[in-house]
Amino acid sequence: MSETDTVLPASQPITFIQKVMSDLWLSVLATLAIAFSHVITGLYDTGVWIGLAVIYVIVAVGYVLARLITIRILPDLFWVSIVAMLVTWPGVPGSAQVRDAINGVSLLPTLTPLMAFAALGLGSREVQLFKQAGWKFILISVLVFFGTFMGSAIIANIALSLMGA
Amino acid sequence: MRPTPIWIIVLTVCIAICAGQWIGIQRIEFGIARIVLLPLVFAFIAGLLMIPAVVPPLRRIMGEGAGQRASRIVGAAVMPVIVVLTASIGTNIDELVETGPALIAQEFGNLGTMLLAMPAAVLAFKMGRESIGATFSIAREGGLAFIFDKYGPNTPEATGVTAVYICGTFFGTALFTIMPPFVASLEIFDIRALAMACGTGCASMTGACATALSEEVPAQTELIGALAAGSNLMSGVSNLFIIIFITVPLAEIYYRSLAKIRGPQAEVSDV
Repeated sequence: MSETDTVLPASQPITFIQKVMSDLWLSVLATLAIAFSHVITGLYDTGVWIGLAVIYVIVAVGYVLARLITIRILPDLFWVSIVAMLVTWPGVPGSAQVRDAINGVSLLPTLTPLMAFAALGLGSREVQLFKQAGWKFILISVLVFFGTFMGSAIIANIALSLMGA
Repeated sequence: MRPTPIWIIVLTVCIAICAGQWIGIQRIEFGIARIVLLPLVFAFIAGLLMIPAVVPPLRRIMGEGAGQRASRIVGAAVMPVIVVLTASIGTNIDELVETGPALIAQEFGNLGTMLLAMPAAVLAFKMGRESIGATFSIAREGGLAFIFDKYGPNTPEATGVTAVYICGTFFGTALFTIMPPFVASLEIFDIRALAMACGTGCASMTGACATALSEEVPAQTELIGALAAGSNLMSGVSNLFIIIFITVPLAEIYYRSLAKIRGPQAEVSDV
């Protein structure tokens, strides 16, 4: 998302490892915050810990893949998604266990830390720009987001009923 | 000024999470519809109240550069959400294939963005070419880069796209937790259609939207996750092409016809 770092080719072993380590460290912090969020929500059975550990491994493998494959057209998110899909695909050995583990993690407490980090990530430049944008652009933005959601929902709904699905 | 130590960032995030959880899920019912505010909305607001850019005296405690460090963790924090969502694609692949045509068709729903927002910008707010940048898409990274590239950085189009980008950064994700339950409570739409509409190509908004929908229909969590994640992956691939070849050219035509109705720019918008 906030990928501002320069592209590091894999041919520089030290920087490559440093980059991966830094990604994994950020991922550890994010995972700890998510764990905390689960605890605060009252969810702390072993299923949660196993689930978070499995998710961490999937993210880590995705990051390493993203760094190894230096064509940076595809975002990290793509590689993490691919790994997540692969290890949970029906028929893949162990996929049922991986799915069960991931299902131990709840969506809502997983999302809360993201928003907390996002708020802290706003610097004075962003706050300044937001103030400058003014109420007209705020109203337009609401229409923009509402428009894209409703546009897709209406088309999808019509398509689904036409298909009789 | 010393740089922000990482433990302060973690501590602040934990406080924000607690604040969110303490306030909890708020449901406001009115007549035919319902507004749901999830804890993450309150966590976001609590987070905002703890940054020096909003509350300047905090700079002493927070130090310098907390924003940059925290925003790098945002990229890592969105990954687990995406893993949970994409993990349900495999088991729901039959449903995804079956609803495939709908899934593809709704990718063009992005056009609803300017259909709705551009008349407001041009006719109600009498904006100039800022309208094109502001309403052609939800103005995430790819769209922002394309507008800067096509029109140049010091153009009205760039001003428009930057403004909506910033607004999206501030409340886009929160809005994507409020809209879906609201629209779902109207009981007009198939829940699958709403799940598909969650996929915007922006991971945090997709995650927020799918989470909010699953809170409303817990039994369908897996299906909602699969459809949202599938739609999001497709948007990630198709968005830029749709923007370059369809949305922006159409926005130009749409803007010109709306500008005719508005008349020659009576007042140059000073935004």
